[in-house]
Amino acid sequence: MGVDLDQSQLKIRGKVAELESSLQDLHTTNSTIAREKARVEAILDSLGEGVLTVDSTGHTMYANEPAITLLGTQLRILGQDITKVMKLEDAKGDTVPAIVHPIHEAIRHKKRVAFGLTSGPAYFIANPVGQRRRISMTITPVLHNKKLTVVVVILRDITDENNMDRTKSEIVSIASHQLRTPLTAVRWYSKELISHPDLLAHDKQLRYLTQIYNSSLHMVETVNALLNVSRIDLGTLRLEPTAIKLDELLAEVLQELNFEIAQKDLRVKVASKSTIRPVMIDHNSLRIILQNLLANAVRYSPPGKDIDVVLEQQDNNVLVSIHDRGIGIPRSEQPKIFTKLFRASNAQKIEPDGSGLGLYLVKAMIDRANGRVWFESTEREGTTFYIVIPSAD
Amino acid sequence: MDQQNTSTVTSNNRKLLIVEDDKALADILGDRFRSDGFKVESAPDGKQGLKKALDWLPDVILLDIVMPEMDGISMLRELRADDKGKEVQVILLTNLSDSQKVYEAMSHNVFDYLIKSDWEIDDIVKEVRSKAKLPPR
Repeated sequence: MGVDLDQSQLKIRGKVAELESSLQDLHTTNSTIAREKARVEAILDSLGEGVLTVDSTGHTMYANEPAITLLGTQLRILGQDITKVMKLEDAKGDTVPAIVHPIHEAIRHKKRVAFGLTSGPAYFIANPVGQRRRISMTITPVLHNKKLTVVVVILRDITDENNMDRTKSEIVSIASHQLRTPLTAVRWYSKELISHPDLLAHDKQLRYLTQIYNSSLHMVETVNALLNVSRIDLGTLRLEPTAIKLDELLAEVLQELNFEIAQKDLRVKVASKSTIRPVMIDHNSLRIILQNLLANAVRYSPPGKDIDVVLEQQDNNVLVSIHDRGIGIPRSEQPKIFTKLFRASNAQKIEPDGSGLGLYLVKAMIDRANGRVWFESTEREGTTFYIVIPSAD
Repeated sequence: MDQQNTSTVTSNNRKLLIVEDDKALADILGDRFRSDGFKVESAPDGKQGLKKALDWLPDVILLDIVMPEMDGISMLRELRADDKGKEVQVILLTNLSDSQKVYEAMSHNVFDYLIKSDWEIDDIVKEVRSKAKLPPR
């Protein structure tokens, strides 16, 4: 009896030791799993793309940090209906019904669904701060024995690419429209010269050649403006700041605008409040800045008005103000005036063919010279543009 | 050219109104049609174009679409709404790469013909002569 008891006790001790050892193994395995889980999550969180998984009924299982940033903190709560935490809008701004939500489509057909900038429909979401963002998604259903186990969704914010793409199309459209008119002029005038070389009077020939020359200048200007915009967007604009006498360059630019100024009988008065020191800026940039601001003042002034240009040395900066008595900028449109391709509604009526690139270029080039540009404007009264450029010494 | 002018003027005398905001294009069209014997008037926008069309009653109007003040489509709509402007022949002359506005004009059935200005000037002369019921030259 005593021997039996001893043997039973030994057996029990042995089992306990086994169990303790298994428990230890379990603990070790658990911490290994926890470590691995943390490592995988850290890797997933460090990705540029949002990653989330949903179950076969379309409820959330996991979301990495980029997905949470893009779609909102609601994603931290698991088991939510994906169509509620990821509300999609189409290009028109209409909500995509849950039944045709692409994640549901992927679940229903057990097939991969992908869309992005160049493929599939354009989908947008409102991010947590209410901004409309365009997204790309790859939705992959994972099957085990033909049964759907999990759906892996990779999503990316492609708003910047989308905007860049749209801007490029708009620039191509502007280029084609703006170049076609002067190209038509070149085509028609040169054809007349070719067709009637002996019949056209000498003064007419000269007028036609002058028109061809002017149209080609206009095209060069348009192409240069587009190239500059493209260089700014791509960050390849080459600048070589040197000390420039602002008043001399100003006089040159005004000289170039003489014809338009005389045609509208405008008076441009230039005044210096003090001795003006040279400014430090890329020569071509300053020319473009002055050309655009002065050409706008001339273009949008009614005939017979004054334009005042005032230069002033202010410590280590030069302040230039260009004041016109023109059509002004409507108050509601003022915040957009330096936006690429934007044109004020009243300016479009006067000059339908403008590119909407001039003031964008002015702002971009002033910013790159560590200067500042701003304006004050009242519709039907006039506009004053101010630019500040650092002095060279 | 001058000799040609004189001979054509006697056989033509149709009235052509050019409504075009680009002065270079309006000028060369004016030159060319005057030398073809047309009486030519021009207007730099739809507003002035409409007034001139209703006052002067041209045989044919060459009409640009994108213009300041009033665009070509609006001018055409107002022209057709006036009894005096219902019958005048209109040729839309445009550089618009976006054909949306042209479709709009077609849907309103307000113009007779469309010519894009990547045509040669000779083709435009042919079309205008045909609209003005003149024999081809």
